[in-house]
Amino acid sequence: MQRTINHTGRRKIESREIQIHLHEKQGGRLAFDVDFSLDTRSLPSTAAIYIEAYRNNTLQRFFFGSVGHIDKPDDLSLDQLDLSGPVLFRVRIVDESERVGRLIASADRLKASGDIDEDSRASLFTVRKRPLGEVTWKVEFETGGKPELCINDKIPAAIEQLKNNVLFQSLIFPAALREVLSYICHADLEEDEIYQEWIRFAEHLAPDRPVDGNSDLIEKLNWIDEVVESFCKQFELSSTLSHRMEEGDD
Amino acid sequence: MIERKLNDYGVLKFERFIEDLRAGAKQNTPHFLLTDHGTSEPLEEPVDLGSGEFETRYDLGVHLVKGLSSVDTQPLIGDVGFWSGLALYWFDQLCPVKADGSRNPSKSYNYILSQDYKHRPRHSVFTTWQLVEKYDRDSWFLLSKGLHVRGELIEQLMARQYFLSCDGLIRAASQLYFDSDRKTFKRGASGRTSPGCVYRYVNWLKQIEINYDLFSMSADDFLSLMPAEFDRFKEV
Repeated sequence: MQRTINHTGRRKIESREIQIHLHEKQGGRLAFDVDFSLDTRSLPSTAAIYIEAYRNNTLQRFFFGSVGHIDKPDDLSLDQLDLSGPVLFRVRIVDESERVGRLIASADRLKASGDIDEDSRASLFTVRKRPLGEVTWKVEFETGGKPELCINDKIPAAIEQLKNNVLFQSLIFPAALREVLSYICHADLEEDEIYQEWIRFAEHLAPDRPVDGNSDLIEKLNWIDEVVESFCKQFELSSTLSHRMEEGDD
Repeated sequence: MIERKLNDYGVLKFERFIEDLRAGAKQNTPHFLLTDHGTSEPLEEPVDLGSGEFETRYDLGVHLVKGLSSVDTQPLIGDVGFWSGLALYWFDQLCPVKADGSRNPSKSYNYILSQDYKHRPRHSVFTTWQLVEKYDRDSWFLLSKGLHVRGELIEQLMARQYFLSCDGLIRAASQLYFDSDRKTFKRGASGRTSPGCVYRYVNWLKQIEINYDLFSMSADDFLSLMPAEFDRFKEV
């Protein structure tokens, strides 16, 4: 069901039209480069192209000339950004023929191609170790792609534990699943390309997803409960955990 | 001169101190964390930041911009130990002791630079530096209160972190809301429902960002596009 109406006619730039690469310059400074494969048919040749690199509340903006004459800046160093985590990119194509520039095409939350976790292409989550203070794990949504399941990097062999340790799996996965589905429902992201896979997965577990735009919060929460219950049942999480703990007691 | 920053363990100890205060404990500020070699580590380049009393967050920002002007700040931008260490350095001003010896600290991410993008702009020292560095006197209306006061207007503008990066947007807000006589924001600016208040400004920005490239707009562009409800602040 279409939930979002684009009143403005603004075109969404597809990720295949812009390929961004990160590399280190001499002295260790991070910089990026861009390959354009823009579909320019619906764009005026005079429209300006801007690319914004951002991380948390730091941002750098670069002017790339116009649609008809792309002109890469000489210096694409990311020297004003918080580089403590992944950098994301926005592309904005702006019609500047009037006094105030109008957005006519855009793309947001783009990741540099070298920043994609190859191991996680087929999974619903990207799993990463992060410095989380005293927090043991969390789900990060502002990633430019699928949600990240972040495990505290102080936990020894954190990612291995998540892959192999039943205690970790049975306590983290159901809660993380609930968190992602709540986020999708709360932020109305059912139509978002990134979350389509999640919705398909969840509907497989509990087919009766409330899709009516008027569905209230309780209905959605009930459906999420059903998904989590079905997930736990499918993998017999509680029984497996109990069994493993009893074995450990022996 | 500041020559050291907190290490991971120092950040953890500082965070525990804040949590203890929030639970009602009465403790002296553990400034020793910044010098103890178990909880701190040397900065690559010492920074020329002296102690001092600051009347407002804006004054602190001016001090930070001046002190950091001669160092390469890029490596410091996401440095949790550095910014958290500065918050510890000025903690007694950011979270003063009350007459009964207790304190009323805000959540820890106001002092510990958070890894969470939603909380990071709430850091009392980092965001203050960022705003004064970028907007100088046009950030005054956002930082005009004492160090211990979280800015209501910043909270509202942070509805979109992107807004804080848009030069014309902030400078237009400064022209609208800064009261140069009172040296703070104008009366009515921090309301929630009154016409033309910052809350309404943010809602209006959320509408126009669908069509306009806010980043490239000048202050005059914003002021000329604004609906009439903002006139009362233009005219004061």
